Amino acid sequence: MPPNTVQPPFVSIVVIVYKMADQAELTLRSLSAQYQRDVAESEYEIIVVENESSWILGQERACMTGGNVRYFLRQETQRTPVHAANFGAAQAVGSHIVIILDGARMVTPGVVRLTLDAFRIAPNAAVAVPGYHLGEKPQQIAVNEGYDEAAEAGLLERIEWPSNGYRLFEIAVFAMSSLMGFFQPNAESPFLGCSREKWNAVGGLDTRYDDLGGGKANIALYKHVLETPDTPFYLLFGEGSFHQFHGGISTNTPSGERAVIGARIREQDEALRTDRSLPHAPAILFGQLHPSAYRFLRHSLARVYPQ
Amino acid sequence: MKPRLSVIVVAYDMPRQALHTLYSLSTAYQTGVSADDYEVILVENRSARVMDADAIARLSGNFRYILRDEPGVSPAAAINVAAREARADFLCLMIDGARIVTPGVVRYALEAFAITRDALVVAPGYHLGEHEQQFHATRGYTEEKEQALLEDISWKSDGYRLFEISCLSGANPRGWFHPFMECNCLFLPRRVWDDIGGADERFDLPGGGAINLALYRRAASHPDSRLFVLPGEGSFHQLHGGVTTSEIPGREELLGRILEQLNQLLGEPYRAPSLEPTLLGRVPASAFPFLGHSVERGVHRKKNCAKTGEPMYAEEFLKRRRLPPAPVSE
Repeated sequence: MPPNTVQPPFVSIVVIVYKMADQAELTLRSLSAQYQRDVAESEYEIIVVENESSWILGQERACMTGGNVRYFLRQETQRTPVHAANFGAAQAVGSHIVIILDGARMVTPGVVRLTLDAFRIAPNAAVAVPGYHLGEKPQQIAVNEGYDEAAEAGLLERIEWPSNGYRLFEIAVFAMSSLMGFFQPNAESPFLGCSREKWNAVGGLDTRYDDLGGGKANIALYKHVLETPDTPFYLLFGEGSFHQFHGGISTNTPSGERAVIGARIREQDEALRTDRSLPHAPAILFGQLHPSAYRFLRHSLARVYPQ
Repeated sequence: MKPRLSVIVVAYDMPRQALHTLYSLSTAYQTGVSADDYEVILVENRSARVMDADAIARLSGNFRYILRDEPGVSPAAAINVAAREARADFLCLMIDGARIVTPGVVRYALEAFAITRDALVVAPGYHLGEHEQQFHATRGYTEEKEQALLEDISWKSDGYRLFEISCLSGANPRGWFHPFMECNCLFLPRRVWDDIGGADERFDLPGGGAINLALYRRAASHPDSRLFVLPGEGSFHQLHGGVTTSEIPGREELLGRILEQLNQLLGEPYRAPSLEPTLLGRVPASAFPFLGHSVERGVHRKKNCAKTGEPMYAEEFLKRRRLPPAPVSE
């Protein structure tokens, strides 16, 4: 049990961006100290690593969102973000690292404070935020039914984002990878944190995942971190990471094309991992639950305790 | 070495039940903590049935036993005696010694204090048995039946099974997203304890009357307090002939006097403090029904608040000087 006198944690949040300038800007706004509650810029940094594309966010737009943003533009020869993520983590000065592998993920206003608090409780912890998709259906499905950037912009306008970030729950559904809810193992988290020491011990993201979007690299990382011995797992169950539509590989590609890519990605994962089961790591719930998120707690309970 | 937490337990005429309570606070039962982390101070007001000091001495952990003579009928003075003996910066108040707790209460309370020294940590209250014990005689509930229930679940080897044989107490009948009336396993900083003046010894009615409600109200209203609720932990009331928690002659008349005294000493009608809880802890499967109940009642409250325009956690916003959030849609 750490006493209060230990050095407070400092978190480096690594955000990977590729061909999603507008969405990444919203993500960075949601990570800014102006939007995040009860936290100062001096308590965390945001490391933006952008892989060069035809639609660049750029340093100016990235750094406009806060004084604690550092921006790196890289030339990437492969189609995977894993090198960018490992590069970003190597730049981190924090005691702890959070990886947002898909930069199109807006978050709720408590994620930074609670992440810092969880590491204050347990510096050896893994911290994760459940994943959601904006819209009425997971975007893998919605994309085939006409969901697009314009529809999403309308939803965000409806909840007057960013005036109350918790209203994102009103316009979202669980991501497929978080569908099991808060009480059963999930495949991954779009917002995963651990100590820099642990990050180095697991070797960061596995660079053999060289397929589109990194394939199952994030899933493999999640399992690896959560199953590392002496790793209490804090789930920020009242917070969320919300996927914006951006033409991503696994989330926003039309179904026919996605099936082909998906099979290839799965094949690679099967070749790289012998144990592909979901991580066994019972969650310690931590956080406040905004009323807009009650339905997700209901859903989570229904999966384990049908009434 | 100075412990981080001092747990205060007050007992009167309940040796068997209080020994259960103490066992549940021992290091043989609590998980994720060691004897150095906390001390337990039992203050017993003398009765014809006092506790077995040897049995207390055999418990694993850091226990102190104070037996005292109390001229009145209230535990208020006993609490203050224990608080003066307490060495830690954080206190846990268990004003009714007949409360068994679950194995994670100490660990998670200390975790909350690791986040902030202003934490006010609530382990929700339950009653053993299917119904609240105020009506035990009518329902045919007895101490013997309760002991049989406890034996059935082998609670000492898995304290989380207590949820299987219990119901929510009147302190928190609507779960974790409604204001709590009081808490019988309440953790708070000593600084807050001192600021609110400790236990108000003017609560001189049997059992202290509503002293526990006043303590909770005052601690929650402290400008620095930040509420934490442990959804996977609890304190479980055992039947022991308590003043307000069992079916005794003249109960209704006494409750009237208790409420009158509470409002008089508070200087205003009692209302449960509406603070926004931060939840912390693992929730065992046995507690899912209570979390389910909480969220259903929360949904109901959300709808009511949306209708009336009242914020769900009005006092939180006043305290933190935050603007209330925009109304949520149903």
